[in-house]
Amino acid sequence: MAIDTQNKRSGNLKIAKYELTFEQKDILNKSNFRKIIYLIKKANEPLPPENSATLRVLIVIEVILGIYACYTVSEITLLNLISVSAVTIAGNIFSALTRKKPYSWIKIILAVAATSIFLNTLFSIINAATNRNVPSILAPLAALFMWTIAIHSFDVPARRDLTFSLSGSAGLVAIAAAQAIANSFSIIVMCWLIVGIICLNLLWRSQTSNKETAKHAFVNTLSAIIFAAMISFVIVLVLPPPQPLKSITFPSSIQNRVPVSNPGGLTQGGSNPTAPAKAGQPGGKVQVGGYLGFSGPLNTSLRGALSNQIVLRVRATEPGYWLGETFNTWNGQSWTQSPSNIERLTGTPSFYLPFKLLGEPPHLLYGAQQNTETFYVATPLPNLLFGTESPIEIYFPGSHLYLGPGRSIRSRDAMESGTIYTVISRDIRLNPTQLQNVMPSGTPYAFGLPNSELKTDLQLPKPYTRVRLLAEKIVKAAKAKSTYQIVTALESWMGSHMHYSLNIPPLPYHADSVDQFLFVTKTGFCEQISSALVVMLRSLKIPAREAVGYVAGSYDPITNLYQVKASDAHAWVQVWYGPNGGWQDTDPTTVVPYSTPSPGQIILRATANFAKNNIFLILSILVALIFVGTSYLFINKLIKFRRLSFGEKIILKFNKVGSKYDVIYKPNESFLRYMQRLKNIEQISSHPQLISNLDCIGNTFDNLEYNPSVTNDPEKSNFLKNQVLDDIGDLISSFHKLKL
Amino acid sequence: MFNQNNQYNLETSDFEEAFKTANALIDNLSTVIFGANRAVRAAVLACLSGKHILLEDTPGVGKTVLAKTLAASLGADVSRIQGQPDLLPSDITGFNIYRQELGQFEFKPGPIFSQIVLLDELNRTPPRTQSALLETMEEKQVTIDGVTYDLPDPHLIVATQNPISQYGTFPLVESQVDRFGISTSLGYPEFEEEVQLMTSGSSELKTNTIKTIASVEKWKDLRQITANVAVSKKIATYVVKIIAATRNFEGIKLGASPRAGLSLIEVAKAEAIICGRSFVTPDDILNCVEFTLGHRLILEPGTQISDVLKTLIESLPVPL
Repeated sequence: MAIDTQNKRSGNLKIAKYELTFEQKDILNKSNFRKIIYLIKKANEPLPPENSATLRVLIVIEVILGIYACYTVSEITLLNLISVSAVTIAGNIFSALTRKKPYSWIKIILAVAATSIFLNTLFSIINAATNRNVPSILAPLAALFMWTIAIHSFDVPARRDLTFSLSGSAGLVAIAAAQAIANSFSIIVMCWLIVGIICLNLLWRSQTSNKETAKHAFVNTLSAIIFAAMISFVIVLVLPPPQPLKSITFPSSIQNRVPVSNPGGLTQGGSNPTAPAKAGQPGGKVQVGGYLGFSGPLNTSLRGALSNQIVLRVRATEPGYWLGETFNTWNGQSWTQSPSNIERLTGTPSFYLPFKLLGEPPHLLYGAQQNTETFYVATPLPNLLFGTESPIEIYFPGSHLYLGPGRSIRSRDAMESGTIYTVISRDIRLNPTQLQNVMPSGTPYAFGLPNSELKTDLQLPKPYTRVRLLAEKIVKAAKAKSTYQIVTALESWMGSHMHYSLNIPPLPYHADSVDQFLFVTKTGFCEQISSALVVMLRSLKIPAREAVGYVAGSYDPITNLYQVKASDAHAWVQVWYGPNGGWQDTDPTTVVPYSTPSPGQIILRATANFAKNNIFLILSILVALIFVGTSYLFINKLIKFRRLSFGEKIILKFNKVGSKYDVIYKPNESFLRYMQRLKNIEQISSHPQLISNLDCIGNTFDNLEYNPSVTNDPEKSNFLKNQVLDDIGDLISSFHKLKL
Repeated sequence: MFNQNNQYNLETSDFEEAFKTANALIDNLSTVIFGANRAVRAAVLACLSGKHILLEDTPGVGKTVLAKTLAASLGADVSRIQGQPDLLPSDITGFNIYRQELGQFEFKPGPIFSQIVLLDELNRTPPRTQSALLETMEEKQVTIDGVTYDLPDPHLIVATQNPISQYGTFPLVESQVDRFGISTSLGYPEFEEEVQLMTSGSSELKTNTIKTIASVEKWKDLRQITANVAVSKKIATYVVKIIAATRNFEGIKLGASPRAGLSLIEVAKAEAIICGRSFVTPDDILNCVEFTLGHRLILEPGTQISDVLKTLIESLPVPL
């Protein structure tokens, strides 16, 4: 106070405003965090209020024009139009009235309002995104913008704040213009432009208090507009006119064209395009994208250490298993493909795959559901193209592709990261009832497929008697008749008797992987689980084969992409459902539980599940916590909340007594004078004991508050504080005794 | 009873001594001066804090008696200067006279060289003489013909001034007024007290028979102890707030100087001693505000100093 007054006297108002107080100097000495808070506060120091009423009215008109523009393109409802306009008008009136002395608490209220609006928008967007309701994402964004501008109008004391409102209205008009179809929209834009020019002019005028420069404000505005118009004219002249798309093409591109050494063959990942792909050795490290299954043979006792790095991003009409290739020949330890011709496909930009090459009954493919998937390669991968079951058209930037055994489509060029290709596939997807009906009996009969091919899908290297007996027992126990029932029975048996684990003992030399899994370890990962199912089905004369690829991956609602990680590599089973069902996927791994999880794993998994299911709740709590925390800090800074001092607490205690007799402490009187007034109360003055008690308390109070030798000595002051509290306790009890 | 936590204060005996002496002084003065408790208190405050005191009153209310009694109680020598329009500075400070037998100038000290100086009717002296007092009051020294003479150590000026409306007065210059630490007025006694005054006999007699409470040495000690009274930061802040408020307050033309603030704290220390404390409380400040600021503030016409100070004090919260 003294500093301020002195500065005022010397006429140094500006210095007084920016000169640091002792407290601020203290803060600057303290910590970087507080320093930042101080600098933020200084940057937010209020600017001189804007007094022009015309400007304020015009800017309100601009904002409402923007909102109306959004309404005309049905971005918002009529109710929204009216309410947002009303809030804007009310807010501007409020801030015009309080422009000279804006309330600091209004900022906190506005922050709360803005946060809740933002959260509301965020959740509705996430909701819409999860339901793939793309148009409904845009509407909440427009509403968010509008409400933000509307509540901002409660705090526009200065010219700078008004310019924010003006630019906000420009944003609203832009949003509306992006959606506008009717020519009548140009009328709104014209109105907005005219009012906007006047606003700019007024802003310029009020910025220059000097009358001479204010005269040029109009000329300045006009020349700025003409300049902007000329620049945009030149841009329009220079830019080529937009060409409408002549035909629909799906995204496909390749960045570095590195041909693989053996055309038509499979190779290792992109960085090593020449090495032929082969299954690795036990315990061997593999490349990020190098799942051992994406090669000629698939050794079922190997999986490799697969990381969580994203290998593929997929934009798809429907999630599914991204199939790489299938295997049909089993030798007891690994899967291979029966040799067949490698077909060379040509065509640009898209390759058509003949139905007959796909291995599915062609008549089914005609009516099948068509899916489109675009794959964005994130890390170097083998030259294998993924897609759901039956790809019929592939957009790939290259002159040719190869269709190899096991339905594997290989590219001519290495699959470097950044490669994009699109696959259109027809997938015969049947529901359980249809599956039940297409193969009412488990007995296979080959129709629509060459016998030789189906024979390979029943191939077994040895009789597998133990396995067959087990499978028959299971089928009998489940009373399964149809193929579907048999598959389900075997799967559910595996689910109740087998366990999933990535840590399994190494396979003994010459031991059979399936036999070992079913009867010895009873634990395994997807390759062993799926192989066991294939072998069991084949032993029951049902054609089945091993399929490898990636599971769908995690869906990212913001980018609308499925993110596939290296560890999403998977093996599953395809079962032949006859000429009316074709090859159908089934994944026995999903029903097999994890092997004896530890309590820690259970807790971890439960927590992860809870977090996954209540993500919005957790997000809201987090946001709320952060918001409350920061606002607490700022409120502390702004309002300077102060805990009651000891003296104030004592006074409050006496006020309770005194209030019965209308003797309340006044801040401008000293404690002793207040005591004197208490003593003068008729009921108290007649008790000398009370009077001396009050005197004693008053004296100790003075010592506690004003005696430096006490206040500077915590031991002394604590002693006296306790003494005062004891005295007050005695006093109050004697008050009660005397019924005062 | 001395309000001091005995357990912890080592100098309690000193303060207690000062407390007793100060109160004895008040009692002593009250036996002679009737019905002017404020003036008596102001005089004792002046003694303890070493500030000069200015009494503003009509003639015949006992200003001279107050000064003489004070001197007698403290065993100090007293001299009196009667303010006159033709009073010269050398009449106060003294002058050099040529001693023919020695063949040199000899300094003849003036009445200012007493320990207690009664400056009667100060505002009847011309400004030139008043300004001669400036150095003596602030620096406690006198310079004549380039030679500086120190004034006696306990040195107290008790000045009186007639109300400004009376004939033949010169207004006191602001710088002069600012050098008085305390001002008050005696005022007329109450009816009963005046009757008592009439029956109690001649004031001269009483002054002569007054008992001496303390020696000059003890007076010096008293002032030392008073200076040692503790002032907490809260109190200092409060005083600065009061002083700052006077500079920008309705009804006040010229506010208080930092010297006024210092003076207020010094006098409040003396008040603390009288109340029996070794530290200053807001009560001390509140009791001394009018004594120390009353004569220094220049008011707008038509305002009363006591009213202005009351509203000013009530506008400020007491520190807690």
